[in-house]
Amino acid sequence: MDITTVQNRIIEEMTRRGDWMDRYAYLTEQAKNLPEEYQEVRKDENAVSGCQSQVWVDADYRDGRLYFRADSDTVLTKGIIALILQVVDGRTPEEIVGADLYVFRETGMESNLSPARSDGLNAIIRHIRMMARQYATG
Amino acid sequence: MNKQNPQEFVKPDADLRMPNRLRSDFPILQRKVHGYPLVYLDNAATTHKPQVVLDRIQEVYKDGYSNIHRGVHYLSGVASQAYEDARKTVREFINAPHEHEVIFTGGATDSINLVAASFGDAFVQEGDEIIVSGMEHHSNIVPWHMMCRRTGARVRTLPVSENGTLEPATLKELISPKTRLVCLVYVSHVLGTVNDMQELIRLCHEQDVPVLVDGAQAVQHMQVDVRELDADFFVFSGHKIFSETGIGVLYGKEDWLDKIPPYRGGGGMISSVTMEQTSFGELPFKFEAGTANYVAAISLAAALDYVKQAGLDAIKAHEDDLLAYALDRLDELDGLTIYGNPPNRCSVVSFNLDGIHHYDAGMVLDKKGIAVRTGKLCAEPLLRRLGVDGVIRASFALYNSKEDVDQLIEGIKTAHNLFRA
Repeated sequence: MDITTVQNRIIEEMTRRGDWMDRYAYLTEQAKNLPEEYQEVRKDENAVSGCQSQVWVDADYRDGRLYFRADSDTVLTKGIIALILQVVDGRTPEEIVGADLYVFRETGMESNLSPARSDGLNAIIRHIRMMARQYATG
Repeated sequence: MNKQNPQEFVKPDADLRMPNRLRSDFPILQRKVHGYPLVYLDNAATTHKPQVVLDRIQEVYKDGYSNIHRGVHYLSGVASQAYEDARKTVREFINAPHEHEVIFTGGATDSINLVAASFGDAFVQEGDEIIVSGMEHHSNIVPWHMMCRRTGARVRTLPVSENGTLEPATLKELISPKTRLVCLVYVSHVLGTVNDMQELIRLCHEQDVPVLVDGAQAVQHMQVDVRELDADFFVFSGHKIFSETGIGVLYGKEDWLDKIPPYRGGGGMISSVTMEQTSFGELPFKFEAGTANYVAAISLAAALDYVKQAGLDAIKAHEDDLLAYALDRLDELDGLTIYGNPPNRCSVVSFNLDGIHHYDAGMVLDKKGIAVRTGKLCAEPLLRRLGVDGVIRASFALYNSKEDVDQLIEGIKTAHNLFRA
């Protein structure tokens, strides 16, 4: 599935949940789907600055693709990370660098997750793009 | 006002009628957030503004605005008079001996920075010590660190006791011949502790050490009398007591203010200037360089008048009652930790829900229209002392009601259901 299709599917899931508590319940479920071993990334060198909650991201580059592991100390951020990983995990660096990651803008998460959290969201996306850029060719 | 109206003579029941009566004075409290009526419990961060304050600000701009202490023209006179009247209102509010001991600043932080810079220049040298409590907001820690970097002095910490208070006996042990200044918070913005300030100050004065009191969380909740406290410096912010932002107060004893040099240079604070040198003006002007935020100062006077009219004793009775109710209701909930257990507590309660990140809880409360503060609350040393990396804080003002507390409890239950499922 391409990046656009995955993002549209997430937007559809979020929009179906009009109520904020339903959306949070959905994020909580998503958070549980993050593999437990991702907690290994909780190291200073993986910390994403700019988030009110703590976020850690690391990636492996194998066969031309990026595989991310990420974690947070808060459930809702973890849920958001799980959704971001659905979009970017296992893709080529070029795909990630070139993509418009509009999923949270479209779902209203960006403005409604409080400005502080929105900064955090942008910080995570910036961090992922930066990692991708290190591997991207051309 | 109709003096015959018997209702004028009925003292409102502090417990029930005050918030209902006063709540309608604050336009923003009528709005909804995420579809729910706003439950504003972040008053220690800032308070909302009553209509009288909003009206006063507009009135100044529409009817009495011109730069103060500058012109010979009519409007300058009107604005200058209102600004100096505001100083008088502040003096009366904190019972300062003289109006020229009231310096208008940008806020409590600005006031502390002024003292740290000026007092530091005049009285602090390498090897000296400044005592700062472990209960302080960063605004009463960082300026002292900066001062120590400049002077070579060092900060010594007055530790916070187990129940969340500052103990006079501990302070007494810490004071030494090297101590130049002691900086203490009156009411904790995290724990709500009302410290025994009069006794703490008395101990310092026994050793001839002056005290700066951070009163940012005190003035809006209880009667403050700087003369009775015998505080050498006392600071607070306007926006936490219903005025416009960008205005604060530094009260200092005349003796100290005379002895410390100006903080910033500019217009309005001089007696004469040649190209070779400047002679500084008298108090309070020597500390008020440049165009003061006089509209905000005038709004502060309107806010203080509003508080006086509501009555600080009635406000305190109402808020004490509300806090006791909040503590009781929070106590009913399982898996909730309340921080601090001081004997004297005021308008603030910080807590955590076991197994739920404070930020997640805050996000859920927000979506129910409930505004609380979460995180480190600009008090990292105190939070470290509490052994947590963040808390949820509910803080009350005169317009809050028991219904607000009930909504908070319902919000917490929602968070429990969502994250503990």
